[in-house]
Amino acid sequence: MLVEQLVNGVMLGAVYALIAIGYTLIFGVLGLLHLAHGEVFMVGAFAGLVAVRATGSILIAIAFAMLVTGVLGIAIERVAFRPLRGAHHLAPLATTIGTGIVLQETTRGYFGAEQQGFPPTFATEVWQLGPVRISSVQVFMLLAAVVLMGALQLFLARTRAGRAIRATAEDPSVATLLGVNVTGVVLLCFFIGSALAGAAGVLVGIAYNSVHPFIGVQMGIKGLVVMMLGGLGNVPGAMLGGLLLGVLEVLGAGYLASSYRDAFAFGALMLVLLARPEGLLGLRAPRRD
Amino acid sequence: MRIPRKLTWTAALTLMLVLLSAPGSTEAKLEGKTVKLGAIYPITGKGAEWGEHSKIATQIAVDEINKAGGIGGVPVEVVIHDTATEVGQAISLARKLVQEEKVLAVIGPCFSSEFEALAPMLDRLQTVIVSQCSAKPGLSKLSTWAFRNSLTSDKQLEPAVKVWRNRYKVKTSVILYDSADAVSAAEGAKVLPALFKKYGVDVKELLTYQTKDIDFSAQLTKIKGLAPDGIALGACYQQAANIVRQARKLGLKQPFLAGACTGSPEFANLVGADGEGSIIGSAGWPDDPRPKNREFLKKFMERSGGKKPNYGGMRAYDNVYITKIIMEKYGVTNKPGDLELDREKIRKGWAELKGYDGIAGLTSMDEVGDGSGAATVLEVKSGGFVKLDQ
Amino acid sequence: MLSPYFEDVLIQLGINMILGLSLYFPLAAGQLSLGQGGFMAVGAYTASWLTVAMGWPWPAAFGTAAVATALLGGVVGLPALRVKGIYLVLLTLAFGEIVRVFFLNFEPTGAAQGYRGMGFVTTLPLVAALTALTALLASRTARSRVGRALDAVRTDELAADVIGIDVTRMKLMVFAIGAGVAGLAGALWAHYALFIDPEEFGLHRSIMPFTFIVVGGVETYWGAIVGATLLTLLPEWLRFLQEWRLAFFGLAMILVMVIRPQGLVDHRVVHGLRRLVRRVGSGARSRGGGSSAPRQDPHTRRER
Repeated sequence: MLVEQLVNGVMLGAVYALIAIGYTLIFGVLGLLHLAHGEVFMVGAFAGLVAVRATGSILIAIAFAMLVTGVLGIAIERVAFRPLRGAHHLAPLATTIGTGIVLQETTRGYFGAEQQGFPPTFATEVWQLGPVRISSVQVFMLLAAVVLMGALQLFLARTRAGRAIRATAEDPSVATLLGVNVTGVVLLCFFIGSALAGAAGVLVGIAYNSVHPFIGVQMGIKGLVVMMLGGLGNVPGAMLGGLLLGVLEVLGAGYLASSYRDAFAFGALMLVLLARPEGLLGLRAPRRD
Repeated sequence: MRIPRKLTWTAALTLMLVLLSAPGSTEAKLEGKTVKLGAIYPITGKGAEWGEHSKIATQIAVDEINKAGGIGGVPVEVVIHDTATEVGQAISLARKLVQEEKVLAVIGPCFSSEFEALAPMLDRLQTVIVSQCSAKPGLSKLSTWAFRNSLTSDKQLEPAVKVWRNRYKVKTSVILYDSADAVSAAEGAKVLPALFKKYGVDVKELLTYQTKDIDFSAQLTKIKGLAPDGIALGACYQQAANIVRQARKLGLKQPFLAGACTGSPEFANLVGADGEGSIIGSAGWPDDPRPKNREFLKKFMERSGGKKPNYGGMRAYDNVYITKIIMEKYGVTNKPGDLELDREKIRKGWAELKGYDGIAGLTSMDEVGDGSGAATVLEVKSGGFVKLDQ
Repeated sequence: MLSPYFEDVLIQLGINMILGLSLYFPLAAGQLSLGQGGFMAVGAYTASWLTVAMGWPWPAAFGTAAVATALLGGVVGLPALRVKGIYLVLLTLAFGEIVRVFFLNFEPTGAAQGYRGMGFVTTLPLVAALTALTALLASRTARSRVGRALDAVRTDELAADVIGIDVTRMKLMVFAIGAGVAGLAGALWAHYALFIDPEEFGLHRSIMPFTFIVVGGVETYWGAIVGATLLTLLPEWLRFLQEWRLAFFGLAMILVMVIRPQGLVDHRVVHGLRRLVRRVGSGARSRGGGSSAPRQDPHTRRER
């Protein structure tokens, strides 16, 4: 049972991690919170739903959702962040809250408020691996999450654009001096981060069948928690934080009390913030100046 | 003697016209240009589907009534407001309808949380509020003005529990419920345990989740370990559908039982094949084959884009008709000066309502103001509901 | 004569103003809290339990609730000294959510079933009076020596420390006051709605005052008042749009911020209006600067 619960936790954690990576990329280069990120995830789930209904292919659905949310991310940067450059640092929080409301309500107006489920795209098979039962859906989800996160790591480590992102996250002004096109880097981060959230939306649709216009609120908050757990702007930290939170929630709900589930997540966040504000994998000290 | 055929027809037609234009029996004609009723439905927010169905059904009823000559000869108008499924908005909109728009009675709200917040205010507002879906036990007694033309969860679930236990030979069960939703929590923590005790089903464990959760794997894996004969849910249809589908993905095969908040055809649609055979206690059957139901269903599906109504929609439709009948029977005048008297007459009418045969079935009001008709036991079958004998 | 519905909207507006002002206090020392919903919940439940279960008269219950919430704010505020900026935002957010989960499971106040039995106390005159009182407190704080000290703490903590300001005490004090004011808003809300349940005090409650104050302007307490007014009345004005009204509400929020990133009201507006109203110079004004330039908070902002 414990192993099965761990698998459940890792699955949930993979989704959290994909969302948190977007947060952390954007925070890394801008130093600002993007509070409509949960809604980007929600739009991804709907885009995937449309694509899978049209084509029946889950891979096309993921690709389509990533494209749609990537472009949406860039649009959000233009509308909610760029006009506010140099403004009070709280201002983008308000514009992104506004953006989130607009995205929720237009999706609701277009698709209706009702929850929609993904059609079964592949037969659910349950395999017995030793003591553990694992389903084909779970395997697919884990594979997809690992591939996406692996690709991102390679991209950040090996490519020029990836290095530019890391340099900008380290210090934007120095990056500018070094000839990095910071505006381009910001847009790239919005594209990648949003696309990953979009992919997470499709995975949630497959695994949990729960797609509705307000699904992004809770997921967005969980993504924030994970980003903090892992350390601001820290991509591997977001991955680790996601897995930890997923496992913690599932074990808490499974062995302690399920009605305190959210308390586990936020309790863990409080502890980490107080004991180790730089996050579990954070190397930099938080800005205390 | 041969009467010309033409004359016979003329005579018949004249007779018909005379009959048609004669004042309808003893009903008094109402005053004014319109009869104004109010409605507060959750058209946006978490209850959007319930509110949307109520709104469509209300409009159908209004159109039908006005086509047939209105209430006591005066066209009826229902002012519909959206509560966004928020308690605060339900309160202020009810006050707006009663005090500012001077409606004679209010239909709604749908959710028990909204109804529970409104009910204590009604003694001050002195206006009937009649919910079409709220099912949490014990709320109508909060005011003599508070009515619910729906069945409380205990009434909805009792026959369903019997059917479910007998059909699936359920001796042990786990109850999984939404602790953050008023009616689901009442079902999970109180109604179901009491019914299970009464019918000899052993409750192995009470488990909870919260409305916003989407991952139920932890609870379901735990249930797998407990291996009960059946799983009972206190849940709204969205989460209930997710739970059922996730349960099947994890290899759980137990039959499900669920209550009031799953009484929406959308539940059957969402669970698909995974929910086949689930039993639901409800307060209305959308596919009821009686002619007036077929007629309503056809009109509803035309306006809803092919969706079938949940029981809230069906009962909202009944509520408009019941209010019409009460107004005609109890001599509501609709004069602005008689507003308070009229409202009191409508209250009396609701309190004394007996055996109204609506599309949701026979309805009477019990002594506290809750509906007391027969519950419907539904089974999920090929993406829809089938009514079961009790 | 006010229409009863309008009276209702005004009562909710008053409560929203108090809630908005509750965020002004910590923000005056540069601390942003996304946990006001949690404090509001504590105030609402405390006051309701006192009037319903203990049979206390409402003034005593409201007062006790506000003080108890302020004390809790002090306890929660202690860690607020350790972290700031986004860390503090998330810490308070986590606190608010934990409070919600607590009441969701706390049987003595009905857990998820909610709590009721309160009498109708929150009339418009009472709300108006308490709103005015809270605004007065904010205005006194802003113009007093404490206000100047808070300004110093917000602009440069280190410098404030050097010139002898007890930074820790200052921050803790305004955080606790803010919590107490949010608790008062909760007590008022509970005795207006006559029914409370934990879900009402979720994250959206904490975000509400935040949007009020950002849209209204973070520089002066007028921002909270103007922002609360606009954002409470806007959905009412937009009712003709029916189910699209929330979408337009969101759009309006973006537009306002893009056009006036510093919020609707800044020092210049306040000074301009004062001058207009009084036709005299505002010489004795303590919070200097007629500049509309946005304030820079060095600790969370990064320069491009």
